[in-house]
Amino acid sequence: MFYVKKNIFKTVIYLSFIFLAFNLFYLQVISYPIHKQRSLENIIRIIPLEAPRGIIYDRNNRILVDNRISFDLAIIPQEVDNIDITLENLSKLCGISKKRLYKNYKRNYTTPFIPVTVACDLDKRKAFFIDENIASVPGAILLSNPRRNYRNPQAISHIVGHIGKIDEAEYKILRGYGYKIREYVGKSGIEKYYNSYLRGEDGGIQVEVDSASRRVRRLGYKSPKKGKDIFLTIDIDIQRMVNLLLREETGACIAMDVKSGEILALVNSPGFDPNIFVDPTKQRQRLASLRQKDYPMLNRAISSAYPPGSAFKIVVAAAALYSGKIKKDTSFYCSGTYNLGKAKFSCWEKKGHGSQNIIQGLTHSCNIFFYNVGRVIGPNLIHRYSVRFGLSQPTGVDLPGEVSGLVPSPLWKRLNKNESWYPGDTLNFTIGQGYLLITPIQALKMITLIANKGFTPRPFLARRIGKLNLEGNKVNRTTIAEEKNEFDIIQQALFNAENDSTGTGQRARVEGLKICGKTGTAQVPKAETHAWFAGYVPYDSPKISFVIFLEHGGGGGRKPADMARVLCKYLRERGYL
Amino acid sequence: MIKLKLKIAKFDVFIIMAALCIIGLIVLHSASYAPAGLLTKNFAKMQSVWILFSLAAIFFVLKYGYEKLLDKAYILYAINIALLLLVLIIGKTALGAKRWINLGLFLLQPAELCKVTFILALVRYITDNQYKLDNIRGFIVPFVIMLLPVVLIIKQPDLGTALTLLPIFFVTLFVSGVKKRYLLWSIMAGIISSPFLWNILRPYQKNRILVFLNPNQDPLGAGYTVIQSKIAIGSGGLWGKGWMAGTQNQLNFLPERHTDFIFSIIGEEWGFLGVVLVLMLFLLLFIRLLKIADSTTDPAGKLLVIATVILLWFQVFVNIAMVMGLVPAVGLPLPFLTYGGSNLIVAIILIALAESVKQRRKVF
Repeated sequence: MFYVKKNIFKTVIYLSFIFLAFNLFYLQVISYPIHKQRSLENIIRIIPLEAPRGIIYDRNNRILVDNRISFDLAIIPQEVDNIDITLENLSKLCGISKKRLYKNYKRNYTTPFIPVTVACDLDKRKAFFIDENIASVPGAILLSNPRRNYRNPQAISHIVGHIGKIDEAEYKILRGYGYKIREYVGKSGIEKYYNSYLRGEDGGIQVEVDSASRRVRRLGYKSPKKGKDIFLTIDIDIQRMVNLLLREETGACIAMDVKSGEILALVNSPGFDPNIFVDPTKQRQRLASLRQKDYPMLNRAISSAYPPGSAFKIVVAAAALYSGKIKKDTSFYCSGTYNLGKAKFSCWEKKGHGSQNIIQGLTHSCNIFFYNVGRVIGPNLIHRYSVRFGLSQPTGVDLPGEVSGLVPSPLWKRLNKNESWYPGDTLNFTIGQGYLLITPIQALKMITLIANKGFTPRPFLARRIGKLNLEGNKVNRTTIAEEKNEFDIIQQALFNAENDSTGTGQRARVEGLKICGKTGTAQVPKAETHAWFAGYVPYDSPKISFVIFLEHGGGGGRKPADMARVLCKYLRERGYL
Repeated sequence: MIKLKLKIAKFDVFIIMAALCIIGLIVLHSASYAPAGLLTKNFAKMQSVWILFSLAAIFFVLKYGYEKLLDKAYILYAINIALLLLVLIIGKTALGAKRWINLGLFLLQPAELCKVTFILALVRYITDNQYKLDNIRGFIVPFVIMLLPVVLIIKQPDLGTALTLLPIFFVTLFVSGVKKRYLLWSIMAGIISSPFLWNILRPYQKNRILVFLNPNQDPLGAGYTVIQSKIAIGSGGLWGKGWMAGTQNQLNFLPERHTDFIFSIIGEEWGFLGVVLVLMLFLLLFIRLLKIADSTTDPAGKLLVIATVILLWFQVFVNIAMVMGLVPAVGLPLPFLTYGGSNLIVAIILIALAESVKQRRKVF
């Protein structure tokens, strides 16, 4: 026996140990960096700390939008052994049904180590109770996050806008700028336009954890940085008053300082409550506000264009006077109808206005007078002046989603409709009907240009971002003419419209206030007319211009004129006039 | 070179063993320490109690000598088989396996003791029948001696310990001159019946083997330990993170780190240099043991030492390969280092037997 060479054992043992040593060398020396990294990843966690967004103030530094603390209940998925049991315990703790917690958990889940919010905005007392008992539910944490808080939500909704979770398209663009998935970004209004300023810089706590993800010690801390505050030109009192005025109507109202372009109030009706977009439990209200038939989310003042009706006659009048083809005393006779070939065009005053010059024509808003003017000066001239008045282009107000409206011309019609421009088109054009579409803020710009006798500042809302003052460099005028006399004529007519016993806007008359303005009643197929009132005050040295637009609001000389009166009275009360 | 060899020759197996035990205590201390106060047991303390116990065992073995123990080999073997049966009936469940008999003071693991009694019985049979080994009976009887405990241990189930008996059986029979074809046949039979054996395995055992083939298949379940163990060893680097400073160990990322995965802690905290030190000690131990086998003329003593070397080497190799994810996590302890009384005493008894072989040699 024992004929085996003893060395075979030694050889096998040596070889096996060399094999082990080689593998250990590979693991510990060659692939050391990978394993080192993995061991660090094992033990280091980052708990995100959400940064509060900047606060939005009005012109008197009153807070419009700020942040409050919201106690949110969250679950860190990787620390949970059995999600069923965890949710059940949490449900007992916070009194919210397990089903709902699970639904939220599923919806908000991103990655295993990022806390998933399952319940938001807990009552303070409840939150303290949960905080004391949360240790019994492994994986659950109570977060105190900043939450956007909109004061006077209905009144300011369309100015400040709302925020919402970043969507896929936005994320693709903004990812490179450090935006995170599921981050809240501005979705409309100032929140969207100035999102990059309002947005803070998120912080975080770096902690070392053990295998059960229990926190062993804190390694690092980066405090979240609040976003920049924005100071608006809005006066919240006027804003609220206008909001009340419009409450029953569908429409928009804007008031602006004629010299600087500061918007004092910009109200759309109906408004919405931006708070529902930050409260995850208000999904139903959110959907409702998006689906409602009167489109409460639509910023009618800038994002929707309408036929201006007679308010457009201001532009036609200016075009006529500047072209020299119509003089101050050029008059046409209004019999109530105007014949163009076989077609009959009528004035809104069936009896006719009799002989009208340009001042009378504007004061009475005589259609026949402007038909004649239109026939004299032609559509191309009206188009040219419309463009100079800023129509068919965005005003550049610092709000997202502004539309440009439409000013037709023979060329436009040829290119887009493949049709010739007919004389009937010219007649419709002169009284602001037909293809013409303008936004309320364009109407404001138009009337401001008259008030300022030839120039208009760019309307704006943000006067200061953090410490950066934006006033002054916003003035950015639009000027159409140096000659002021023609404007005197139009101004006279707009003054008469309110203050003459035959004017169309008499309801806007206020004792001691020289209000000027032009009414507009735009016909809409198969529906009530749109009502406009564009004006400024006072006549001698204009300070505030305003526009009131009511969708299907009837005649421009009725409801909007009434509102203009109330608005101007209030402006005087507040010391703006 | 010769000088070095002479120096090494002076090292006794006991000294090497003591060095390994001390390293084990130091590492166990680190494994017991936890900043969050997670573990209440101090494994190092308990292990040192076991080491004291084994001193008595060394004394006993050296006093009586290995021959007397070989005389009682069959009785010891029979008692051990009875204990294995007892475990299956009343055993205490630990980690999903019944392995223990509660003796009040301590938990006895008959499967561990079986390593000694099996070796003794096997060696006794071979030496008693050394001239009849070339017929089929010379293979069948040792095969039954092996099969009985293996089946009972697998049934516990303790796959790792059962597997350790196989190389002892084959190598011992091989060096004893049993016909090679018998050995080959039995290996072939084992391979052919492996699908059947697969079905006998418990789900967790199947899982371990599947996870070995692809650890990432279940990174938080069965594959977790191996992945964390590789991270621990790999992140130790050349110099290690320092004693009591391994994050994988201290922050509890490594399960079973005081038992089967103790080598991972050495890798993490002591680095490559530390593990080479441990490997060198084991290598030295095996070389010294083989030297004893070399210099003894008693076939029984020789076989006993060879079987001891095979057993310890198999455990060391499989354990270290296992913590690196090179072989399935079958659950083999690392001799002298892993926490656990039965395993430690058995390893120490085997070394004592070898020492006894060396001392008897001088008597001749």
